[in-house]
Amino acid sequence: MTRSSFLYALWCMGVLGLYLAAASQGYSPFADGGRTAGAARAYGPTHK
Amino acid sequence: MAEEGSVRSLSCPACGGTIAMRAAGYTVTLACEYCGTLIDATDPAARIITRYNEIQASLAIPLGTRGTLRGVEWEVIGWLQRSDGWVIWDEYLLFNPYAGYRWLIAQNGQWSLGTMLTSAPQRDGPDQIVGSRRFTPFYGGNTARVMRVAGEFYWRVKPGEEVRASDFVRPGFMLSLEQDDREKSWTISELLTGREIRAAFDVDPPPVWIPGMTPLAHQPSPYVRRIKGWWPIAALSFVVLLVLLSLFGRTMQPQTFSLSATPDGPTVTQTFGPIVLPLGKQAMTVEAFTPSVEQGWVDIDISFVNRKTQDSYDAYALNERYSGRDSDGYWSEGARSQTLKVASLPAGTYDLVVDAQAHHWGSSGNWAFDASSATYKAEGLLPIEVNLMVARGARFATNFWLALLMILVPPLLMLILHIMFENARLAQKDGSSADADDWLQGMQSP
Repeated sequence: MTRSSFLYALWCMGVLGLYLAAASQGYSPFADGGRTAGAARAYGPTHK
Repeated sequence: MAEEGSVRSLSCPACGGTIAMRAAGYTVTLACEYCGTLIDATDPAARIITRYNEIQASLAIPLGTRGTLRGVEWEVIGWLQRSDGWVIWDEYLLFNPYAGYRWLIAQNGQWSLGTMLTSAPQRDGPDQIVGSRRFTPFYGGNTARVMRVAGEFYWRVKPGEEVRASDFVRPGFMLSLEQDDREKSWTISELLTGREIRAAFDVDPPPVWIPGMTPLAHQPSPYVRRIKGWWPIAALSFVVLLVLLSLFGRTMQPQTFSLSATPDGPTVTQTFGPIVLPLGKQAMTVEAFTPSVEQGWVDIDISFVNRKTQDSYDAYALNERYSGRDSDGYWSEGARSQTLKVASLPAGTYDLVVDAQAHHWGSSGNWAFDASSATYKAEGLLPIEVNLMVARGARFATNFWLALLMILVPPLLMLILHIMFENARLAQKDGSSADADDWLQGMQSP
């Protein structure tokens, strides 16, 4: 394995580790919680 | 004349400098390394062929330097600089009494080792084949002209000498045809790695290619090896990611709650519970379903309130449904169901506090003036039922896509750089413009 492949493998392991940590903690930066305050609410049909 | 293959010294008839003739017996023309005067080495009196007043070039590898390349010790005996009118390159003549001559070609800081072929390559259409290697045309019909010369050579070389040159390439190799009115010669040159050339002759390693630089015609893309080496790692990571996606995020222990809200009526607030989260931190999934909403919307605010700490984790859903008919026919829009995912709730006992407010859109229904809000509101509309399903756990697809993007970014970056490299390389090609075969050839390893 070349050095660049080794570094890339490390990068992938880091990403998978972060994913695993987020999954085990039920975390997501895109979760719905906390969006209520200040969220723009638009009502009514958009059909033209 | 001295014995073949031995070193002989003679004095330059122009400047008196002592010149070592390293390939005595083979050398025909010798250029003084001090004054550049070209000497006929076959003449016992060392006759001057041409005298030059140019300053002796500062050579990257001084004449007489010895270095071991590919297991053979070579001595640099000659140097000439050539140009085709567009680019200038240096050629060093290497000599070993047992292995003969080789060329060390330097251009743009890259070094190639050239070996003269003793037989012409096989021709296959426009391509040339040497052994099992196929070379495709790259440069055609150029004139290579000797600009400067120093050292000794096996033919009568002089500045201004011209040959017609055509080059064929494959990654890492160039096959060159040089011909004049008298002869044709084929040379195959192989690009040397920085480590090889540095170990042999202690020259600066080739520069790392960056966008904007012009690569050599036979320079292999430095990114191909990475793309090929990284692809299996990316595929394996993708499989692991799929496994993790399937293992985590399942919902469990669903609980259902419901309440109803009258369109344009007051906000309905209701508390449900308890909801017990026994472990660490976990996400919650809430499905809010309003099956009877029509021509209106329901604002649904939910809060998980920790009974012990009173910490609140909030989310919001907007369920809406509109429909009608126009010149294109029936239309509808909006969703009666929304799924909310609340992240990382600490373990504890929670109440689910729900605020629901239903609204009516449009002119149907009975309208009456509401003095408290000083607005007209619809009356007589049926209450809208709000059903809530709350479950422990949530699968965040966005986490999956974000992780996949992060895994793919480095190979994609390499792919973009590879395309830029190949664009710059193939832009130099003579004749027909680069086609798919050229791009596929660029993906080959040397």
